[in-house]
Amino acid sequence: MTEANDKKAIIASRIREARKMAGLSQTHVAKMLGLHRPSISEIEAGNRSVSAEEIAQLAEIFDVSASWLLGENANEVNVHDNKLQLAARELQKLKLEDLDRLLTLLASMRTGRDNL
Amino acid sequence: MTSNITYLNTEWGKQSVVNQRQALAQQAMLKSIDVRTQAGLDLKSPICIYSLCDQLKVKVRFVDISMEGIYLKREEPKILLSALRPLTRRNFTCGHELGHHIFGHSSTVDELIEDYQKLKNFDPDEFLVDSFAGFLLIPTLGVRKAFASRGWNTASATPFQIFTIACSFGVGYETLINHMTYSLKMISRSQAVLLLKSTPKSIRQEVIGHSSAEPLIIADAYWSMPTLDAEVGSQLLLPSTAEATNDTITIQENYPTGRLFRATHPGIVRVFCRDSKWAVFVRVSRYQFVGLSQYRHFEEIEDE
Repeated sequence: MTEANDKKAIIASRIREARKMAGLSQTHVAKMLGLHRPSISEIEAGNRSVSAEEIAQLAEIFDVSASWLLGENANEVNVHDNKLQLAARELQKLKLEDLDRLLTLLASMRTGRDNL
Repeated sequence: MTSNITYLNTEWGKQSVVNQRQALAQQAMLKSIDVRTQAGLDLKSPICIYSLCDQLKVKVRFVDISMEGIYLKREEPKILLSALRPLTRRNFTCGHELGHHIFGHSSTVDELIEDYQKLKNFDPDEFLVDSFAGFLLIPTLGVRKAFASRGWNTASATPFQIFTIACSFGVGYETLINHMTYSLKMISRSQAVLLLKSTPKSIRQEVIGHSSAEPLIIADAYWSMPTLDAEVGSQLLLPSTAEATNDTITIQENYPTGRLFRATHPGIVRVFCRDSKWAVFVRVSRYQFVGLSQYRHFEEIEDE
């Protein structure tokens, strides 16, 4: 698999993950973007390229950072990352599996600085 | 820790905590009035806490994480609420997390803590935002109006009456009792103890005549919100002549106290009474919806 294909696969999986975390179906997203549902399905399968404009729109719809959708950030934020802005004692309140879920969510979130 | 306990056990220490609580409650009440006023909301009506967060540019997201809520202090602030908690609890926790934002607190995780534990481990910031959520969602004038318009008296309020009014503010039965007792001082402690002997489950059983695990929301003729939020599985006791314009909610049974519906699909439905001006938009979300708050009432469309 080429590097371009790898990248496409990461973008595709992050779009799918972000959509689910936003509580939307492919049909909802298609309507919001003015596309047909199969187009979203193709994007999430990695069979259709996504334009910069579409990435920006999807980031807005899902309330995630565009750079995360593009695969530029790790899938999970590091607990020691100061961007996390949650003290370790706060995170200790969560169970391990819940912490993993939260760290993924935090990695995807818009910070107000890193959007397109 | 030992010195703190010793301090709290002294008369002076106890009085100091009482004074601190009163000062914090006063601060919370004034801030809730500020927030309502600045958002263009009156000081009587129930509010949709998610619309208010939206107005204040605080994004709310429901997550399947076992906790109460998380506030993330960021350039674009966020509130995460556990979708696993009851609907009314989510509303109150949202008000609580919004309090952290309004008072400029740092990011915080609020875990599942029972009220009696909160009383034991007094944390001024947590007390402040809890009081803020109470005054914001259940304003003093609003509670007075809710009782007066129904011709009910707070001093002799029954569990059914308290439950009905708790539903109208979108909060839990116990939350309203505690708020009316400790913050609003509208009911005595002994009355609160008596009322707390009933539970939402026992009230449900009394209203619908049988035991049911599914939550009940009562919206009577005095319901003052244009919307009513529920989730799939919720039971809704609406006025006896209420009719729904689609099958988002379906009629279950007629009772002397009203017509019982069940929320069956996510979506929005207009419900009205032909014989009065009563009308409301019932907004139903998926059961334990996970996602952004603005999408919670989207109709379910299955992908192929």
